[in-house]
Amino acid sequence: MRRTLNSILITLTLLLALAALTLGPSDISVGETLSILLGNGDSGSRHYIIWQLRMPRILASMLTGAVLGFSGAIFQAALRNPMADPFILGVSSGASFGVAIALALGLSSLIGFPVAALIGSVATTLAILALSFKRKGATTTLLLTGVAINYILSAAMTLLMVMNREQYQRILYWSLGSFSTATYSQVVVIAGAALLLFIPLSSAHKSLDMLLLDESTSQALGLSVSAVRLAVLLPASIATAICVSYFGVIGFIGLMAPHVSRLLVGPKHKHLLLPSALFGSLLMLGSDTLARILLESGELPVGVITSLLGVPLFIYLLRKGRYRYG
Amino acid sequence: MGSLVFEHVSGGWGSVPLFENLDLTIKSGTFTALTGPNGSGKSTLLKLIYKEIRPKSGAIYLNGTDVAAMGQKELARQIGFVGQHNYNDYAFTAREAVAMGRYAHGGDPESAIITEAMEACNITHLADTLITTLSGGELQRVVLARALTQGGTLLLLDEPVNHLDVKHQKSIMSLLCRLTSQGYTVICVLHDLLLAQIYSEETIMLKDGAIVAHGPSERVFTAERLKEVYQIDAHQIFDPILGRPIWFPSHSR
Repeated sequence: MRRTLNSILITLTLLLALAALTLGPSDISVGETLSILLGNGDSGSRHYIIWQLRMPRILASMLTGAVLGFSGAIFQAALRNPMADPFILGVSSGASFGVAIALALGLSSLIGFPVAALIGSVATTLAILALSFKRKGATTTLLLTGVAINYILSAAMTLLMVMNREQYQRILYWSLGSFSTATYSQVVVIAGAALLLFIPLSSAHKSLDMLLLDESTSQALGLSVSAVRLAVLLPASIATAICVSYFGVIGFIGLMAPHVSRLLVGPKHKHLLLPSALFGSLLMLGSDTLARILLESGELPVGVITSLLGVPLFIYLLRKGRYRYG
Repeated sequence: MGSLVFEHVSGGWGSVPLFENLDLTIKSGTFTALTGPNGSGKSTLLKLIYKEIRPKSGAIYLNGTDVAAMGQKELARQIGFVGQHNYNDYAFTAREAVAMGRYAHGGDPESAIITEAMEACNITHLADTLITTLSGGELQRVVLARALTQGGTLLLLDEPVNHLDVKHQKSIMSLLCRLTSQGYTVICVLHDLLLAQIYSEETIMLKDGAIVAHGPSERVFTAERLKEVYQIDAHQIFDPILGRPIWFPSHSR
């Protein structure tokens, strides 16, 4: 079941990626796309559209989706909370606030944005840990802390936009999420971040399972809870921050992908992490493709699509009586 | 087999220590009930042993070794733990849940120890059942089996029969007695004073972080002590099966 699921997800994502390459204002057939990919055929504008416009965007959305799906699974385990994801807890907002400051200061987008986002997201993660775990990590305290942090940061973002009217449009559009400016350099950075996230944390799957127990029990079974929690949350926050810094705040992938995966493969992280990443990838690519082609002219922010898809699915999951996070 | 020794231990939650200069020795191979009113320090005493709380001063020795010098995993290999809150939100199978007890050993899910522990707790037939679907009594036995797979001979249990019906209470308490006869040292927080008197060989009675009494259960429970610690009146009824009297809270009409 697990292997079949992963194979199905990979196949679907690749097929969707191929379809996405052909879709857009310039109609390019599947045959033509394949021949351009194989190095034959047109070397003019269509070649440019496929390789320089659509391909980096597709790769960026796939990788970002994978990072957000994987990070969502990590957040949900580390905070022992099925509602946790970087978006809901304000970690993405922390990153986006960092970028808004970088924008206002005129820092460069390839390096300056990720660094600013990283500082914003790590600071938010540490603040959430410090504020909510003082009271033994009650679910409500954690969520309310996240909600409160989100409010503070969105107020601060608005303030920044009001103070920088010339950047208003740019900050607003970016804060809703978009892959329209994706470049190969960004793809390389995100691929590196994804590898640094996936490889060490996949091997920590047993510790992630242990985090699902109550804190006293996991400690008594030999887990150094605080150290492990920090060790898994920091890389997940950093990888999320890099994605946010390039493509804005895109919600619900981190929440949806692990939940759907858990329904299909159960709660063990050994089996859960890969499908969470693959689902994230598929959902993000699908959402971005829709964002690109739904309007006759221009495009929608991808965050709008992920929320439109995500919220109904999320409510359905919550209402499904027997679903208990697995 | 060793023992558990508290030497001049002070500590607890927050800045004001609950325990002051606590000395305590628990003999190995005994079943000791830890009793006392809410807030008297029963769970805190357990947390000090498995290092969820560090003492502000003093030391706790397990088989002659200071637990402060032991790593969390090393400690987990010597102490089996059954906590007060056993969440079953995540759909692990019973066997997967039991296997988590092997985390400190590197987590070998196929280990024969897991099978043995499940047999001892009579849950072999539940191996592939999701813990989200278990009854309270079944879940408690899964949690106890997990504690046995940890590999230690000291078992710490924090109110293991809370929320269980009488039948399941009896099955868990009898199992703990059997384990004691097999060489385990059992320290069990109990609110139910009848269970403490029926099943435990020794009782520690706590009040406000101080040990009011520690000794054979039939000597620890007296009318005066129950009045002092719990502010209740109590009367004795002779139990023909135990062959000795046990104390009941008196009900005045």
